[in-house]
Amino acid sequence: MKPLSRRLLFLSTAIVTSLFAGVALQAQDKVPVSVLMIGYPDQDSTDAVTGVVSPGIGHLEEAFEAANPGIDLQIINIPWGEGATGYAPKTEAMIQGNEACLYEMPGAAAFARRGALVDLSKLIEADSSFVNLWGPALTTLRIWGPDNPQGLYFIPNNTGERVIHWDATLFDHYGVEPLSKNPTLDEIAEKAKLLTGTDPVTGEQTYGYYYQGKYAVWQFLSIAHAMGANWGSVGADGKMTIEWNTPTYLKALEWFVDMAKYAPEGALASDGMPQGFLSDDNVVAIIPEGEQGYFIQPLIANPDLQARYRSSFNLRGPDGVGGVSTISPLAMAASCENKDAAWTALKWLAGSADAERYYFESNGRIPTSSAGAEALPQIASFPDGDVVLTQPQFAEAPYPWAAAQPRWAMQTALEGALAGTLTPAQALEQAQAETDAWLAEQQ
Amino acid sequence: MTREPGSASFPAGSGYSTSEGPMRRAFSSLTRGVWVWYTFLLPPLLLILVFVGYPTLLAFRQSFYTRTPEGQVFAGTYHFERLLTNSIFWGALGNTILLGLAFLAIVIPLATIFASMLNRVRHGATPLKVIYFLPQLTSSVAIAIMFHYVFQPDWGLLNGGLRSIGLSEVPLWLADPRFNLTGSRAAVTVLAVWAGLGYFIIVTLAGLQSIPADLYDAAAIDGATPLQAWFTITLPSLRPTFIFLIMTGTIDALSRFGDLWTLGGPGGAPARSLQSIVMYMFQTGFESNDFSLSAATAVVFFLIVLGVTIIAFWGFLRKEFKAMK
Repeated sequence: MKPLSRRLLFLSTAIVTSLFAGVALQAQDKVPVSVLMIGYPDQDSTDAVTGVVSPGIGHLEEAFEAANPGIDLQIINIPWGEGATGYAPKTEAMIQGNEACLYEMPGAAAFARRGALVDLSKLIEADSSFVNLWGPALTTLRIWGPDNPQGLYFIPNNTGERVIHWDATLFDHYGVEPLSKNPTLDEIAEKAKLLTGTDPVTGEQTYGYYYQGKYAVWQFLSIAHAMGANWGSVGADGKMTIEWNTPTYLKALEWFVDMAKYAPEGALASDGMPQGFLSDDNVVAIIPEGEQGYFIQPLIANPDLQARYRSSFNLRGPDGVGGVSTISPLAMAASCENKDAAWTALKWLAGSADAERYYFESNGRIPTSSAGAEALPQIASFPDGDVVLTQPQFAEAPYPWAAAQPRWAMQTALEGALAGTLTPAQALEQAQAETDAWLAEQQ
Repeated sequence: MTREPGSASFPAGSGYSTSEGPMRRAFSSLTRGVWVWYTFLLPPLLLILVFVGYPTLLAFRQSFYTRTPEGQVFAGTYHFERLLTNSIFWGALGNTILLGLAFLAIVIPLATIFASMLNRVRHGATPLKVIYFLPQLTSSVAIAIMFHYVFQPDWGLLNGGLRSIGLSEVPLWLADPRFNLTGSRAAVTVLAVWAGLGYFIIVTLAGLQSIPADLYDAAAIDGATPLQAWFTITLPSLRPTFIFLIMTGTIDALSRFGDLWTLGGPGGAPARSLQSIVMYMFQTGFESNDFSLSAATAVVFFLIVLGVTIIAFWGFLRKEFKAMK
């Protein structure tokens, strides 16, 4: 080898070695925190129809590390999947293998009962700089754990949302006072009745009320909660007690069946929002427990719609919260070795404007923290932007049976009551009997 | 070339023949060329054993066990007792039978009439057959979504049409769980007939075309009218076709899932009026995670289908098989 080549080889080797050494030193300075995230795009992707770009998960990591240079956030992003390849068995395997510190964990309550999660309330107590950005949710979401019967084992990092939608144009046509920001059942009933009939301006048949037939159970539970009903509880051993057949639920079901008279006849067969919603053809005035996915993007894209399609807070119970919860819980594994750094990461991932913006831009998920307005000014500027961005903090605690037989038992009974094949009392009796049979089989 | 004693290819009287010789020769002639076919049949057989046989055995086993945090615990016939005392199961079974009977009672006569007319068509029969058969090639989910738009009570195509001709009281179709001719069960029966008619027509047409023309000639000579010939020659001659359609149609009706699931969701909404036994099995297993009850349902379903097949065979087909012998 010639001397010049030898020198060049030496020089390049030295550069590469020092680069690697530098990177290694830099990584050594940082505290690693691994986090399991579910269902985010791995890479930037562009919607073929709208041209909207969904940012890849790397953007979240970059934003975090820019804000927290002392922590090396290692995101493990998995798809939701189904069955044996779904997120649930992967989460279980990762918990058992101590493979991550933080987990986006839909089944967090069950892991908490097993003692696999950290009670975050203790970290909050020890954290003098902690600011509650999640409002009442930090109280609502407390559940039983082996080290605390009222522990906080997860904080929601993003959510879907249910609000009460109402059509301001129909209210205007009938000369009915707009729906208030926190409507009561009485206000809804009174105005729904006034808004059912022939529209004085268009001559079209309009309906004061609406429910999604195939998901009526969620609206019913929201109504019942507003009347003070309580479905039951989960005991220290994880066993559930569920009480449907109570006077309060009966009163709620009678109210619901009565209000269904002011909804389109085909509502029982519907699995979405009414035909014509978000267009000039809408004929439905009030939609309690309406889904957010149907209106956020169209309202952002078409500001004219914002004045017509309004949102009010969901019905609230005596406890000050109300509406079904569709949160994504973020939890910390008890086996996490870097709990301080993980706590910093958890707070940032669940509460920062950057993180909330990422969840919305990548998956359309709504902020759960009070940083929502800063994260998404395009929503904050809606006439009801504050409702849209703060309703998630006032949602009920997730129902632990939401994907199990009690849901189907109640849903079927409701369908019978709404169709008139069962009386409300018979419907609740049927739901209770089927739920009891299921509960008896739970280990 | 060395030959082994007893080889089937040894000539007779060569001195190597034993008492086994004729038997071996017979066996050899029987199996000659057969092994190659068994070799070809082996891969699909293995696939069936792995993906059908083994899961079936597992389902049978699971129906006698209960999953607990400590593992599987033998439960005897407990899950069958739960199943047979469960009103939801009986409701789903009743629905399945009712929807199946309604479907067959409509589709077979309709298919016979359409096939008889197609059989008479001189020009354009093939395009018509293709058109009638097209729904059979469409996914049941796509058909269900399409019929959701047809039967939606408020803005659906059918009620829109009824309103346009002046009817103000229109049926509720998919929002009505009652047992009536304008409810959800009627709607899904219309859907099933629309989707399955083409297949039934094609099979019936094949049956019609296998009837010897001599019979019709003889009937014409005897002075029979076309209608008399249809009743006395065509319908009796189609007996094997009808039996085939009833058997396969029954099994298809019992295993109905995709369209009902799409229209009624896991619970067969409204009020379980569209819940079939397979939907119940799926909901129990994959929505409520009660795999033992779901497996017990699968076993009972298997026995029902087996029973239907045996009854159909002994009741209807024995005569045909005897005639073939």
